[in-house]
Amino acid sequence: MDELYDQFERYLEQEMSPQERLEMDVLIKNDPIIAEEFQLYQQIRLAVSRRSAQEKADKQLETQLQLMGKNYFNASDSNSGSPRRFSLNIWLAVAGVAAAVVLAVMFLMPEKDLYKRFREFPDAELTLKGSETENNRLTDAADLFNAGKYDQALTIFSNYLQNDDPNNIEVRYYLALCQMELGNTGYARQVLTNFADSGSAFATDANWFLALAHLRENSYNACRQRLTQIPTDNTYYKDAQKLLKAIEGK
Amino acid sequence: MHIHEDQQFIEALLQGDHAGISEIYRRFAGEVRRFVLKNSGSEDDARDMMQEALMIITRQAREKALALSCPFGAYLFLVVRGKWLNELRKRKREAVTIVEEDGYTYERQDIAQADNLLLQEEREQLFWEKFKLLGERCQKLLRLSWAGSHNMEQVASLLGVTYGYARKKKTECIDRLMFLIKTSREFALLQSQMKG
Repeated sequence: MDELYDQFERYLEQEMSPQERLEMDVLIKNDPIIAEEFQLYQQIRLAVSRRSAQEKADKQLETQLQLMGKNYFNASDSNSGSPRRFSLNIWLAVAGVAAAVVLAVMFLMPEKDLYKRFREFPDAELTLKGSETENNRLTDAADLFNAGKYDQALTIFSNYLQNDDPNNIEVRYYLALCQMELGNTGYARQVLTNFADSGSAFATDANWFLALAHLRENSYNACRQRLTQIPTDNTYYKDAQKLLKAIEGK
Repeated sequence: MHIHEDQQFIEALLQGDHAGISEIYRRFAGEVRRFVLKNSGSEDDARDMMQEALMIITRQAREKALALSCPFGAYLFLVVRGKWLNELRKRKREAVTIVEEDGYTYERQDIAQADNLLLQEEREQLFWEKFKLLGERCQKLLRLSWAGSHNMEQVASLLGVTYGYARKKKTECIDRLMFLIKTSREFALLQSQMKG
């Protein structure tokens, strides 16, 4: 399948010879599975290029709507003109039942599940600046990390820091994520705190992963504190808001 | 086609016009709130639905030159309704039943069309979210090469790498993106909705 995407890409980029192009036309026309894949591939490509081109404008509008939404939705119901149909007692009873259900769900849900629900690591991409052997080792480690084989990736990352380049910040960052995933949250927190407080390129993302490390340790206040430091333009902002809601009252 | 006078609201969204957007909230937020609260949602849900519906309408207006033939409120409400229905399905409520609001009447085909647009929007959103999970270099490379204004030689030069490396990397990035999308639970759900 991977090779097929490469062919689609070359087809769409007009990089194929006339003969190759003709063969691809025939393939798309005669094979419904290939045709469906091609359609999906085009949709993905178009969606990404559109969103990419409009990212800044979307972000600006989203921020504007967020602020506006706070004015109109956090206030009491005065704007809605909605008639209150139930008496206060009924509302209190309903609220009580709802709160009980929410609390039951929160306490029944193990924290590991909450952590798993929110944990989605970025792809590891490492700058290759060493010898060919070192570069190959790092590429292998990145592949293992991206495939979710954190224990194996961790071994290579650790060896690399010990033997090749102890100051490589990218490797230190991904090593911390491996440690967190494998349950060594103390180590992960220590490294990620340095990143979060350093103003480096990883600083804001580090706050998100620090929050997750705290979540794994059931340290909700520390988790909340990190979550509130994530700015609205960060990739994890929406997840951070959702997690804040999920741990409300803990 | 007659363009409805409420097209001004679409223009306000496209321009990011503060007064116009404020007017949208003033006139329609209450209605959205009542609908969401009446259908198992919270105040926060209502706020999110309003915001997301306005983002969808703006994107449609930008990409498909949306021209309103009905009141803005009716259109907004149709999008909110479909969006909230999808959200309830995601939250795995059995047998989702929407308590309809009074005030607007729709043709069955209008609702189907809105549902279809929303499904496309949800797919695009998923593609974009998975793209954002790629490493920074992958994102940069694909953004440049899919923008339509650079060939691969130029992309390689802009990134300061060789043509061969850029090509190889691009293939890896695309494979990774396709993997992230196709192995996600949300994608399977959206595919089944499309086919169903």
